[in-house]
Amino acid sequence: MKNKRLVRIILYVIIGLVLLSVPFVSMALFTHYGLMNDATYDVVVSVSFGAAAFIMLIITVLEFVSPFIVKDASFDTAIVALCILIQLICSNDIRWVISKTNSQIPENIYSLINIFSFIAFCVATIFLCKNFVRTYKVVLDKRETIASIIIAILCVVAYIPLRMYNIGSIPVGLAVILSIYWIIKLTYYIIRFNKIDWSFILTIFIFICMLGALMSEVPMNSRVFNASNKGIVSGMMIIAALFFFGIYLTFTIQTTQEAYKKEEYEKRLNTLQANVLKNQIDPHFLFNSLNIIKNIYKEDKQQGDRAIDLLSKHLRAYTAASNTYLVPLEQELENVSAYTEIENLKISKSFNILYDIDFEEFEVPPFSIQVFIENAFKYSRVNEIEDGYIVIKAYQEDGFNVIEVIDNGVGFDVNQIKNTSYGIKNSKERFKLLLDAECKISSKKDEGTKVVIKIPIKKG
Amino acid sequence: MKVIVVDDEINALHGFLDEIIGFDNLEYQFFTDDEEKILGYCKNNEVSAAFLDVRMPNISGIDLAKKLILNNKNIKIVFITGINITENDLPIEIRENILEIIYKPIKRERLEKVLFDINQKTRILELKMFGTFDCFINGHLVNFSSNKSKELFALVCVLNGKNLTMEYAISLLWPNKESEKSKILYRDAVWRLRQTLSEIEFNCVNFTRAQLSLNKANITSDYYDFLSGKDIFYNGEFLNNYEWAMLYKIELDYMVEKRKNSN
Repeated sequence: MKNKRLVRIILYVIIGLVLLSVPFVSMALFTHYGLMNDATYDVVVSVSFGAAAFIMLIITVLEFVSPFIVKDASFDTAIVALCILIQLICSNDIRWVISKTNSQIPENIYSLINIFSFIAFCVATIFLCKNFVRTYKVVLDKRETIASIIIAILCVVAYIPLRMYNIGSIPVGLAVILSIYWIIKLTYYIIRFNKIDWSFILTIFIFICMLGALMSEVPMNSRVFNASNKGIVSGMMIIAALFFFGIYLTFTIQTTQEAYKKEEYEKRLNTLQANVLKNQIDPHFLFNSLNIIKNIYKEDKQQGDRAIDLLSKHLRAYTAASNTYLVPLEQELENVSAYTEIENLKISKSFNILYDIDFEEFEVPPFSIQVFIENAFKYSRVNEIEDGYIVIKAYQEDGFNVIEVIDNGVGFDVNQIKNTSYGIKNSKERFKLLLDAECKISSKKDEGTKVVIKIPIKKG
Repeated sequence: MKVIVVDDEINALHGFLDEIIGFDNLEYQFFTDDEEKILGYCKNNEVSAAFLDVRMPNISGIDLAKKLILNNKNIKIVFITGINITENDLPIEIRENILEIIYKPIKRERLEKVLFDINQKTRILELKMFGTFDCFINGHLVNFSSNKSKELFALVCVLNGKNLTMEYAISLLWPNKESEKSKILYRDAVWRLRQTLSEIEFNCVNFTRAQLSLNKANITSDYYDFLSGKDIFYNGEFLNNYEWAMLYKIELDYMVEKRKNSN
C-alpha cells in the first residue's frame, strides 16, 4: 500500500514538472530551430503577462467580496492571488512591457519594485503554509513557527539596505531556503498523515512557479537561455494563474453547491417542522380532552389532576418541538404515553399499549412516533379484539438504533397510506433528512401492521 | 423557613397556596409584581427561597432574581413558569442560585420535593406491605400507571435490596405467558415503573440490564421494620393482591411462630 502511494506521488511530481517545463522547453526549441522569431516571442510574452495579471486580479477581487466561501479561506486565497499579481507586476517583464511604450522606469524606482516582489513572495508563502496547516490540521511547534516568521520579517527588512551594497541575494537566499524547508516539511506531514488531493499538488506547483519567478530576478547566464530572462516570470505566472484558477473554480463550485444544498436542506426542514406544529395540536383533540377532564373532576379530583398533568405534558412536547429538530427518545415516549392515556380516557374500550424499551439513549424528531400511534388508534381496532395490543420497541442492533411500532390489529392496504397520510410522510421525511433513517411500513389484512425505523448510529 | 412567592396573576398565587398549605416549618409571603415591596421585604427578612414567575408585566422574573441575589447571595431561586426555559436562557450570574424550574400547571410532587430540598430534608417513601400493597410518598398515595408495574415494584421491595432478574420476575408475574410475550410484558412493566418513580421524583430503583434492585435509603416499611425485630403488628396478611407473595408469607409466618416460641 505504502509503495503504491509513493509511486503515485512520484508520478504526480514528474507529470507536474513536465507540464511546467513544456512552455519553456518548447519556446527554447522553437527559438533554436528558428520557428519563433522575436516578434512572435514578444506576442507570447505579452499575452502570458496580460492573461496572468487578468486572472489573478479577478480571483483577488472575487475572493474579497465572495459571500459564500468560508471567510478565512477566502482571505488567504485573496492574499495569495494578490501576491502573485504583485510578483508579476514587480518583475523584469514589466520593464520590458513599459519599454514597449517608449517609457523608462528609473533604476531607483525599479529597485523599490523589486523589494515588493520579494515581500510578495514571502507573504504568499506564509499564507500558502497557513492554508495547508488549516486544511490538513497540521500540528506545529509554536516556537519554530514564530522563529520562522521573525526570520522572514528580518530578511525582508534587511533586503532593502543590503541591496544597496549588492548583497541583497543573502536575505533572498535565506528566505528561499526557509520557504523550501517549510513547504517540504508540510508536504512530508501531509503525505504521511493524509490523503493527497489534487488541490494540494496544484498548490505545490504554484509555489514552484512563484519561486521560479523570484529566482529569475537574479541575473541569468544568457548562454543557458540564449536570451535575456524576458518572459520567464510571465511564463511561470501564467502557469501559476491557471493552476490557481483550477483550484479556485473547483473550490468555489464545491462550496457554492454545498452552501446551496445546506440552504435548501434548512428550508425543507423548517417547512416540515412548521407543518408538524400546525397539524399535531389538533383542536378536536384538545377540546375533547378538556371536556373529558371537566367530567373527571366531577367524580374524582385526584384523577382530574392526573388528567391535567397528562394534557400539560402533551402540550409541553409541542412547545419543545418549536425550539428543536430532535428530542431524546425518552421524551417522545413520555409524550406518546401521555397522548395515549388521554385518548384511553375518552373511550370505553382502552387500547393496550406496551413499551418494550431495551435502549433509548438516542434522539428522534418530535411527534415522529406519535403519528404512527395515532394511525394505529384510528385504523388497527386492536381495542376490539381479544389480546389486541400495540407495542413500541426500541433497541440497538447491527449499528442501528431501531424503533418498531407493531400492532396485531386488522391491517390495511399499504398503498393507501402513501396517498392519504401527510403526518406519516412528514415523519418519514424528517427521519430521513435529520438522521438518514429509513422507515418501512408493512401490513397484512387481519394480522396487523409493523413500522420499522432504522437510524444509523453515527460514530464520534 | 421564609419563602416569597411572586406572580402577577393572583389566582396562580391562590393555587400555590393550596399546594403548600400545611407544610411544616414554612412561612410564606405572596407578592404580585411590585418590585419595591418585594425588595423591601427581602431586605428586612431572612428569605431562604423565592418562587418567581418568569413573565410578568412590570418586571421579569429573571431581573428580579438578579436583584434578590445581589441582596442575599445565598437565596435559592425557583422559577415557576408556563414557558419553556432551559439553563442556557438564564444569565450566568444567577445559575448557581437556581434550585429548580417548575412548569405550570404545578405538580404537587415537584413542588413538595423542592420545598424539602430547601429545608434540607428528604422525603420518605412508605411501603405498606402487610395487607394489600400500597406506597405513600409523604403521606400521598402513589399512583402506578399499570397494575403490573406496581406488582413488579412490590416484588423488588420484597427482595429487600437483592437483585431481581428478568427470569425470576417473569416466572412469578407472568408464569403462563409464552417466552417472547412475557419478555415484552416485563420490559413494559419496567418502563412504566421507571416513569412512575420519575413522576414522583423518587428514583429508588437501580435499573441495570435485566436486573432491578431497591435502594432502601429514605424508605420505610412495616415489613422491613418487622424483619429488623421492631414490634410491628402483623395481621397474617402479606401482599394480599399477589399470588406469588405466598412464598414470602410462609417465611413471615415462620418468623412469627419463632418469636412467639422464644417469648
